[in-house]
Amino acid sequence: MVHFRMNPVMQKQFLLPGGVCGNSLHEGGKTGVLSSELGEHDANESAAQSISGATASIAECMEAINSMKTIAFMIQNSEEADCKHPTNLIAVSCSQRAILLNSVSNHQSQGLRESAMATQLRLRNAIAFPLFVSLSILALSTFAVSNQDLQITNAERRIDLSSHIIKVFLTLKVENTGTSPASEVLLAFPPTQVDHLALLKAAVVGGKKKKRTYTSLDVNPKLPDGPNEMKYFSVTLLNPLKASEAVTLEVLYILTHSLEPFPSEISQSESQLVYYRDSAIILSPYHIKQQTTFMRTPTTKVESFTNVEPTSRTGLELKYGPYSDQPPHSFSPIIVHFENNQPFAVVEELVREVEISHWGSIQVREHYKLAHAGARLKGVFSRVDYQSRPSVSGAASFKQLLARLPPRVHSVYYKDGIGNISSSHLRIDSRKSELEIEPRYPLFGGWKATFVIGYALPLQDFLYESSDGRRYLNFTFGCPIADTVVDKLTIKVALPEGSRNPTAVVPFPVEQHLETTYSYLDVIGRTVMVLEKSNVVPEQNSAFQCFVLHIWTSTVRLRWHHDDTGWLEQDEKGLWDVVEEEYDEPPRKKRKGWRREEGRRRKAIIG
Amino acid sequence: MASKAEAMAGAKPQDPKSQMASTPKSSPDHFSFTSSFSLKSLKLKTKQQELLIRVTILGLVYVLAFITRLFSVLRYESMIHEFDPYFNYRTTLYLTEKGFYEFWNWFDTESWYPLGRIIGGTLYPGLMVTAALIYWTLRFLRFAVHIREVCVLTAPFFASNTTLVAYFFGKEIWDSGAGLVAAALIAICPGYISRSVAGSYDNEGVAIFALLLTFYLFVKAVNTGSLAWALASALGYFYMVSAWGGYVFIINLIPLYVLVLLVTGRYSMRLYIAYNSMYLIGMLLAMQIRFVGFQHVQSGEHMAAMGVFFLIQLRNERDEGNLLVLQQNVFYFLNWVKHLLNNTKLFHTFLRITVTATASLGVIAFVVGTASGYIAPWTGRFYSLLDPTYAKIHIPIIASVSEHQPTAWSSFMFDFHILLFLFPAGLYFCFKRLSDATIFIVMYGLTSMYFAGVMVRLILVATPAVCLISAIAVSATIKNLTSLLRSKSKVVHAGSTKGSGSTKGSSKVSSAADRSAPCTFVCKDFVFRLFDAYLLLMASVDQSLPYQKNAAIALLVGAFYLLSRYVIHCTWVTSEAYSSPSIVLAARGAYGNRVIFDDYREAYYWLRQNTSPDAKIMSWWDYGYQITAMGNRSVIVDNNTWNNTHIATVGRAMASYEDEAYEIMRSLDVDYVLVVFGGVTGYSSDDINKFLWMVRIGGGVFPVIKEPDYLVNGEYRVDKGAAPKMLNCLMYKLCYYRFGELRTEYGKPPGYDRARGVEIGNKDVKLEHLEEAFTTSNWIVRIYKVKPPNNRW
Repeated sequence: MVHFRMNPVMQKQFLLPGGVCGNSLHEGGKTGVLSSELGEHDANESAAQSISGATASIAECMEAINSMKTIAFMIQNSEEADCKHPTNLIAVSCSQRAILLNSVSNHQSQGLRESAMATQLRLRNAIAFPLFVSLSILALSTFAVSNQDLQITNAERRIDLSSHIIKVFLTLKVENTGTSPASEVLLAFPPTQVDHLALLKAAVVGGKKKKRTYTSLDVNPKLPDGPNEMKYFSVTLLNPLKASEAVTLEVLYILTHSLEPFPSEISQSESQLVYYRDSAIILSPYHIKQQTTFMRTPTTKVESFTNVEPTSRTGLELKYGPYSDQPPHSFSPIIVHFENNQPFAVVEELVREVEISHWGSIQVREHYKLAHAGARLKGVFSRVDYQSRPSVSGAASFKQLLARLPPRVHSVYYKDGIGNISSSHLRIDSRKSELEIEPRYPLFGGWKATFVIGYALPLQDFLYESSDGRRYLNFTFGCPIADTVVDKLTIKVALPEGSRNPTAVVPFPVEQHLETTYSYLDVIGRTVMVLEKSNVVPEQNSAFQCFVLHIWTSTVRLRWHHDDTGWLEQDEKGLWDVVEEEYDEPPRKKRKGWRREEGRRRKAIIG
Repeated sequence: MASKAEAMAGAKPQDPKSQMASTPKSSPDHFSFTSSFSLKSLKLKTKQQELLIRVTILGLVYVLAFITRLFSVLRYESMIHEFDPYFNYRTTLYLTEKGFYEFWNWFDTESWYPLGRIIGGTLYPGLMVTAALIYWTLRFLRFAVHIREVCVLTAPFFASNTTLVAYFFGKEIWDSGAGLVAAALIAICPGYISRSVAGSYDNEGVAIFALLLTFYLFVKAVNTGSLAWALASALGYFYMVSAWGGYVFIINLIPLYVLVLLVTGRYSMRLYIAYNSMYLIGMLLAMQIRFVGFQHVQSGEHMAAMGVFFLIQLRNERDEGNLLVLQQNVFYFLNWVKHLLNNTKLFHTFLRITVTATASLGVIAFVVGTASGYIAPWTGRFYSLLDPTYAKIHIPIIASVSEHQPTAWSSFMFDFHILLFLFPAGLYFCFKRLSDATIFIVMYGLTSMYFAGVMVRLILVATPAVCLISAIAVSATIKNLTSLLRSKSKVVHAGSTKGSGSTKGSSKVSSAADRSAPCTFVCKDFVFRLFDAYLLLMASVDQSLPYQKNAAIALLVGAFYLLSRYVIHCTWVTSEAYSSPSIVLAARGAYGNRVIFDDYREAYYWLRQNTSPDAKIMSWWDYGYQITAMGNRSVIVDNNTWNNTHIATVGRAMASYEDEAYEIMRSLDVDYVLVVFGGVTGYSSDDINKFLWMVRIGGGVFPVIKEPDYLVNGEYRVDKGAAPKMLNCLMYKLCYYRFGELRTEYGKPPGYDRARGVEIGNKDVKLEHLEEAFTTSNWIVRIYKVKPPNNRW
């Protein structure tokens, strides 16, 4: 890790934008508030030291200091309320600001915990303290408690950079070092990642090596946010983790729009290079004893990567670590610059219209706004080059997509605003249908295409009746096109005429409202359930089999199948498996190396 | 003459029989064939049986007319065809989205950049309004159709309706049998199908319906003298005016018809009522169409109607019996004058003076009006109709359109098949039973056949007339022959026909025939001679009954054979020739598989998705409508060729060297240039083959462009021997840019142009001011981006 120090002059300037708060912080600094290494450095030095990272820009630091002011203000207040002990403030700042203060050393944690408790007590006694401040401080204090109760003894992270959808598999061995049982484990994400976080799932590993079982866990956003807009997600354990017990968690999260093409414009014959930004050290509110990060690039062509010793690269794999004994909220920015010519297919907007017919079929129309989100095409598009040297020319473009449709699909069409697009192929077998579509023209960076895919499905594959007589429709949520990101997904389910008051149950938060539409020979119109979600990735297809519709009429009742854990039962006929094929294979089959490992994890998490 | 008389005599006994069939209500016993018919078990009366059969046939024909036009939908897809329909589709879309008011006041900024186009004032809205009404009706009835489907199926729907009109028209001019045959013939006639297949969403689709409807209603009005029918006819005319520029044909044919009736002494009060009401109301209604406006009183093309209108006022009903001279016709009020003067001689003098004065006043008014520009002179298109060589010399933009070329004999044969031979036969029957209605159809047939000979596209206008007249021939012949076959009760029949000879219809016909005697038409003579032989045969077989029966059977079989050939031909033509959308091209692959070239839509959709929304596209005007409709981008020129200079500017740019063209394109704010190129696929209607027209049209306005510069010894070539200017003009460069690197055909050198079958002359095309932006997968459409000017510093 590279730390840099500021000279006092720089630091002065650095703190100035904080204004009053900056001053108060400064005051606080004088009393040793921000001193992370007590007695060794003065406060100023430690504040400067806290800003770390090879590429952390000044602007970033400014922002951080600015956002510190609230805390600093509170600190000042609490000082007034007879709170002169320096360490209690460290506890607060640790939890709130820890992205910066990553140099808080491990041996202090015990003292910090105690002091946090003290803070809590004192703050409770503060009479003239505003209510909201006290509440937030309370929350922060409990954070601090849980932080210090748990530690991660071993963490392994695998980042799959082979497409534009980044999948991260995280294995955490969590140990409760405290005395009280812990019921939740926190996961931390920097704000840049949170915005692009499409999916986050966790499972707990049970059983021995041969007979491993995976049980999925609830993951919920945890408020308030961490310092520097860092977001927390809490994983609720099945059974509270008792003192000095350990549990292994598997976490999968998926990031979209996280590869930045550089150069941002390329010509037809160039291949596409992208940046991936992350931290070499896993961001976590807990102390991590041992951790390693692996990255897999799509090709062996890696232009550059930040070296954070020990770092090594072999073939497709880039290894950061192992790092040992990293304090909470450690962060070490890295940039990997590598070649990625995978199709950067982004569906900017997808509207899926599902129309349930009385006559035993479901009509699905999907309106796509597809874009190539990679490096933009610079200059000419030459058809001669594209046709005569297909392997070299237009490597970063794509012209084909695969849509996986349910089995027994019929009446498939593929068209756009001006008519049918003749370049598509449909393959149907008993388990799935695959529709291979080509847009009218190959998509180069920045090019767009809009089109509509429509198909009909037999209703009996998707409609069920629950024991209470209600009917429910069980349908896939996400986009059927493989390896695409959907920025904004809208599902409109048009129920048969006469259905009323539907409800939808979706295992993740979506926006819902009702509309009315008129189709063939309708008199009063059909109720349409509209569900909207942004940032959807294909993995959400299989796992979240959508929503439940309760319709409280005697004619038609729809409801979704749903079990207690929020995971859908897998026994329905209507479910089709869109997970990659390797996960469909029986687990006993041998798989090798990376893929095997990844497959196991994904299966575990996806279920 | 003797043989003619004999022929007349031979035909005469059959004539009233056909009359009888036309009025089955009066003599139902004639349908003796029904006695052996199974319908008898249903215990229907003969009249009801006949009605049932007629309705069934008509219903089948209605359906047939619709489904035979669906080849293109089945072969390709439900899509809009060709060029103009895309504009119609776009405007219809606009109409349904924004409503009529917005549509009527629409100023389209996407076409004719930078001039724009006032859509409401420059189009015939009938088609769009019709489609929108159908759409709104269906929507109201909760049929969730897309407007495109409505547009695609509008033409077949109206074709079906046309068959109904044809039936009633045929019934009006001849009998219901002829009506049924006419409906069947017109349902599948290729001449009509060519413009009314599904997807051919053009004005003609509804206009032919409107045209025939107007004619039918007018004939009905003339026959009945009813104001209601005349009013209906005026409404039909209004619909026609709102739908198609071809209404000029109506407004000239009907006065001509009235004039002929006047000259032949067939003037009647019925005609007077029909024409006056139809003309006046029709004219007033037509003025509501902004595109037509005051043309009815200001344009030379409409003056004939007005002239006849005044002329008809000169007729006195009392003089109906007098066949000869206009001079003896007087105003109604002249009766009163006559009464006042009380002196025939004096009155005649007065009359002569009045008439001469009126006529000269009219002529002077016309001349002054024309000279002062108040009355517009005839348009180029009208001239080119009267003189087929006019457009070629004076208006290259009209001549450049393939459908404006004079018709070849083969296309007559292709579009009419046996109707071409049945047409004269039908004319013969019409002349034989001359009435107001048959005179109309004869005039319609002859004039429209002339126009069909002048312009290929006007075959369409001739088709209904040809079908009707042929239907008369078919119906009359078959009726005659079948009556011979059921001739056991022949004597009785003869008696009964004689007995019913005093019915109104036949007396009218016979008097009409008498009256037509003084008129000698050349063609009539020709037709008479042509059919003398046939009728002689009929007359001779009269004498020996068994022989006659056999001959009748043979002739019937022959007729049915011909008709079945007609059906086969029509179906074949429809499926092979007229059901291609021309947007999507289909070809046979090496293994007999179907290969689809969807390059047009590929390019247009690329424009739509990947260029800035305000980009201006320069292309030859043929593609203007398609680019705005499918590409949704502004174009410099389009198929509404209202501004010849603008088109010539584009032609000049295409024909200039690149740097000169660049100046022109910069001045027109062009962002992209689109060319159509068939060298890779062998698609022959591409821009290189159209290029000489660009040169001619450009040269017509800008004399710097000279056609001989692009020719070598009067020969147009693109290979090494081509003219240097040709090899370096913008069009050549854009089409052949980097084409020299491509090997199109095995065993041929690279740069082999398959459309023209030569190796191109300039393989090293360098572009300075443009760059390739997009080329479709089969190279049919190539789009170039106009680079911004170089920095000067």
